[in-house]
Amino acid sequence: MVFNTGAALLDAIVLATVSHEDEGTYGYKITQDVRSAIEISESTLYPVLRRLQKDECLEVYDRQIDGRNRRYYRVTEKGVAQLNLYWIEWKNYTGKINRLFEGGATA
Amino acid sequence: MKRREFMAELSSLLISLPLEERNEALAYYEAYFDDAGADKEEEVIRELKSPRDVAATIIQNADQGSYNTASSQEVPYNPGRGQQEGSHVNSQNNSVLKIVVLILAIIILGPVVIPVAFSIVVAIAALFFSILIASFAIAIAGVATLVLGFALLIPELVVGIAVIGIGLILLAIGIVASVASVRLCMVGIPGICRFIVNVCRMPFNRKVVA
Repeated sequence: MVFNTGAALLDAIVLATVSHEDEGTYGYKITQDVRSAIEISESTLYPVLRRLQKDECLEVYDRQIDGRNRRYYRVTEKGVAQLNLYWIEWKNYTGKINRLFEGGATA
Repeated sequence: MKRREFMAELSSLLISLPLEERNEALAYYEAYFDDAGADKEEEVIRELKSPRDVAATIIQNADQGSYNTASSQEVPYNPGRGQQEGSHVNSQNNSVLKIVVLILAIIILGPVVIPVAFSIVVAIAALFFSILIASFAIAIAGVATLVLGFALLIPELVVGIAVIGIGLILLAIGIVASVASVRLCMVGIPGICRFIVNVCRMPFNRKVVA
């Protein structure tokens, strides 16, 4: 990918991904979903999930799957508020960038 | 590398983390392998690159600690920051430890080492001084013998000449020895001083290197 994904954007992407699942989702699936949009290495997401969990944007709970515990992540109220903030900021940011492109060489 | 080896190596690389953090990370990656399925095991290991890379990512972020995501847009993303602070604290602890060890060493070894070192220095200084005095003495003896030789010239010409010869030889030996021993002191005493200073400095040098 040409553009870098900073820490805040990565937080936003992970929050958005997890928020699609009402029941919550788990590490492997989050990684696959995020990787369908941006190129990141598989080891990038654990620290992000851990940080969001500590910041109380994500909550975790264990569910029994095939005789073992699987850790599920779910967006908290604070996480939803944070995600909405990111969503607004992202629209502002991309809107400005888009206007720059649209007034540029191809116009 | 197989999953089992990968996890074992990751586990040992995370030993510096608090137990809870370490267990959490290991549980995550165990579950990750489980969810990927046995047929994707090799692919996951290839993607994760090495336990070292995975451990570095985890430790970096654990050190950095949790920051409030509400203000994260203002926080520049600097993964190296936490690690640098960590190693700075470590080296501070290290130097404090070294100073404590040094003080203990002085208290315990001081009563033995300081008198022994002092006597060695005094003995070496005395040795140099006595060589110098002996050389002067030979030269003075030469002069005395020379005077005696002249005095003997009148009653016993041959004996007088022989004694004068002995006197001249002694004088020559004395002068050469004096010059040599003065040179020895000039080279030797500063050399010994430098050696002692270097020995005393050794613990401090090690600290700088480490």
